[in-house]
Amino acid sequence: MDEENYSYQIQEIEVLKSIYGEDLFSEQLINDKHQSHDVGQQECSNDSDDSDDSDGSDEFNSLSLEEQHISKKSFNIKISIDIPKDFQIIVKEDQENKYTQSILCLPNINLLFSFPSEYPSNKPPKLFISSCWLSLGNMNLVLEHLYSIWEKDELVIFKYVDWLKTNLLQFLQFEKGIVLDNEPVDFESALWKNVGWDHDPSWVSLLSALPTLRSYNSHEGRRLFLLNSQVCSICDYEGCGQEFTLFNCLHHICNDCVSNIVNINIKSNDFSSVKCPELKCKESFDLEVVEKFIEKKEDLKRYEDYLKQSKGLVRCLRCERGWSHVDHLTRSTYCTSCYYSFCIVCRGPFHPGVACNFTKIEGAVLSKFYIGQLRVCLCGALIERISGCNKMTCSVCNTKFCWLCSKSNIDYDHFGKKCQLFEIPGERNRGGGGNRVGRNIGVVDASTSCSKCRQIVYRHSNTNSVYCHGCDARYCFLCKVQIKGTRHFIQTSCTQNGKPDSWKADRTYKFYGGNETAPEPIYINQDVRHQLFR
Amino acid sequence: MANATKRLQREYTDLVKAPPTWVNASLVGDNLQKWKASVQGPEGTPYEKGTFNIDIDFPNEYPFKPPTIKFITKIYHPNINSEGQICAEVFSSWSPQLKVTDVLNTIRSILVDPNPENPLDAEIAQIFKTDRNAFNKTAKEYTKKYAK
Repeated sequence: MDEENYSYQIQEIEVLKSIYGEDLFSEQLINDKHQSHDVGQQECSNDSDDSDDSDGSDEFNSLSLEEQHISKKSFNIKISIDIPKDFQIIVKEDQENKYTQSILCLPNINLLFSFPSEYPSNKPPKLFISSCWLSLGNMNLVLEHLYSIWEKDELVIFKYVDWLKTNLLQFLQFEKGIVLDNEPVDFESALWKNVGWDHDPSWVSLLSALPTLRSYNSHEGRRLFLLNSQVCSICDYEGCGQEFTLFNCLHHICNDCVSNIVNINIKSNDFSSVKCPELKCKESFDLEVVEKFIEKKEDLKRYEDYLKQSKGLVRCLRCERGWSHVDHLTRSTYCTSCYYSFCIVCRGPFHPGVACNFTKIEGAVLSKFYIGQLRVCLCGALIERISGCNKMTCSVCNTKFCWLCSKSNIDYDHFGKKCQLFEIPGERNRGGGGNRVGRNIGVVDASTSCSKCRQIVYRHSNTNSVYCHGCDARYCFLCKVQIKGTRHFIQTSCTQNGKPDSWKADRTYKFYGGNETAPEPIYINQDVRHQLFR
Repeated sequence: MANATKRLQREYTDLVKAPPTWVNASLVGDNLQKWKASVQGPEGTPYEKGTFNIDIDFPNEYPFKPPTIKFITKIYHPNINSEGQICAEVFSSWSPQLKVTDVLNTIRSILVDPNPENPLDAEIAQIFKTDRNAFNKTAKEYTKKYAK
C-alpha cells in the first residue's frame, strides 16, 4: 500500500514540477522539527527567499540524490492570486480613518506541503500556508477548507493551487478588496503551527505590509501591464501594453492619445487638462510623461513654468530665470537666486512700512488688487480675464472673486446688485475720484491723441473732459486745452457733453460707434504697464 | 485631425445604430465635424413637447477639446443665453473619454434640471430662483412659440 502511495506521490511531484517550473516550485528537506516561524520569516520577500531555499536544497540534493525519500521532503508552490478588476487595498488606520488604493496584483502566497506515507490513500497531504497580506485567522480558515475538499485517493495538490488562485478572495469575501488594519498580530497564537505570516522583524500588524504590497504592485503590475493586451478608452485602439502608458492612478491610454493630450492642451495653455482623462480622476501627468511626449521644447518650458506657478511661486522681476517665493503677510516676494524682493501689488521693489499706491480700491476687500487689465491674487498669481463672466477663479489657489470689485470668496449671488455678471469693466462708472486706477471709467466712445505728449486719450461716456495718462493732466477733448474743473465748458464754445454743432474734427479724432469695438482703455500709466508685460 | 475623423465616424455610426428616443442627430452636409441634433423637450418640464435644434461643432482637436454647442431654437433657460450659447462651466470638466452621447445627455439634464448657480442669463436665473411659476410660464410660452 505504501509503495503504491509512494509512486503516486513521485508522479504528482513530477507533474507539479513540470507545470510550475523552478521559479514557482521548490523543494527542501524537512528539518527535525517543522519550524513554521523560520519559514515565515524567510518568505516575506520573494527575491531573497529564492536564494536561501535553493542553497539549502541544492546541498542536500547533491548529497543524497534520488534515493532521498519523498517523505523527508517538503515542497513549496508560490501562487499568484487572480484579482478582479478595480481591486483595492482598504487601509483601516482606526475605526474612522480609512482609505483605499487600487492595485493590480498581490504578492504570491506560499503553499507548503509534505506527504505522509498514507497519502493519497487514507490521509490528505500536510499543508502549511503563508502570506504577508492575510491574517492568521483567515489563513487558517482557508487551510481548513483545503483539508475539507480532499477526497480519498485523490492527488489533490493541483486542485488546491487552482482553488487558491481563483477562489481564495471570494471564499474570504474579499471580492472588492483586502482589508489591512493595525490590529497587532498575535505571535503567540497556536495557529502558527499551520499557517505563517511572512513578515519583517519590525512588522507588528497587517498594516505594516502596506509598503511591501505597494512596491510589489508597482513593479509587478507594470510588468504584467506590458505583457498583456490593452484597450485605449479614448480611441478604442487595442494593442500590446508597450504601446500604452500606465499612469500612477493605474489608468491607461494609448501613447498616441497621451501625446495628443500633452501637445494640444499645452499648446492652448490649458495646462490643467494635462491629466489622466478618466472621469473623476485628478491625477496629473508625471513630468517624465510630458517630457517624453512633448513635441516643442518651448512648450515644455511653459508647462514647467505652470507647474512652478501652481506651487505658488512667481517669476522674479529682476533675474530672468529666478522664481520667487511669496510672503502673504507682507505681500512681498523673495527670489532664491538673486535675493531680490518685490511687492506683488505694485511690482516695484519691496517697500516695507510704506503704503502701496495700488492697494486702495474703493473699500473692496483687500485680497485682490488691480493692476490695469490684470488682477493680482494674494497667492501672487497674475490673473488675466480673456472671456466669460466676471466670476473668476484663481487657477493657482482656487479662490473665487469678482473681477469688477475684487471681492474674494463670492458666489453668483454677488452679482446683480452693484456688479453685473456679464459686463465689461469699461461700462461701469466707478466714480470714486482721487485714485488714478479707478478714475475716468465709462464706455469708451471716442479717442484722440494728446497735443502735448501724443499719448492716446480716451473719451468716456460722451464726456469731453478727458484725462491723459501720459502727462497726468485733464484736457478738453474738443480743443485739447488743459483744463481744471468744468469752467472751460462754460466760458468757451466747447460743450461738456457730446459733439457741438460747430466743431471740426481732425484726423486724430476717432469715434467708436455701431459695430466698431473700442480698444481697451488704459487705466494706469505706461511705465507700470511696461513692467507688467515685460 | 485623423483622430477626430476616426472617432466621429464611429460615434456617428453608433448613434445611428442605436439612437436615443429623445434625440435625432444628423450631419450637416458631408462634414463629419458639423452635426445638427434635435432634442425633444423632456417630459414634466416646461420644455415638454418642444423640439430644440442644436448645432454641434467639433474642433480639429476633438476629442481632446470639447465640441461647441449652440441652440438654434430660442429657449428660455438660465444656462442658455439669447444667442443659444451654453455656459462654459457646464462643459468645463471635459475629458477625452466623453462622447457625443454624453454631451447630449448633459444638454438633456440641464433641460430637466436647470442650474441657476452657473447662469449665463442672470435675469432668468434670478426669476428661476425666486419665482418658479413665472419662470415655468415664460418657458412654456417660449417653447410653444419657437420650439415647434
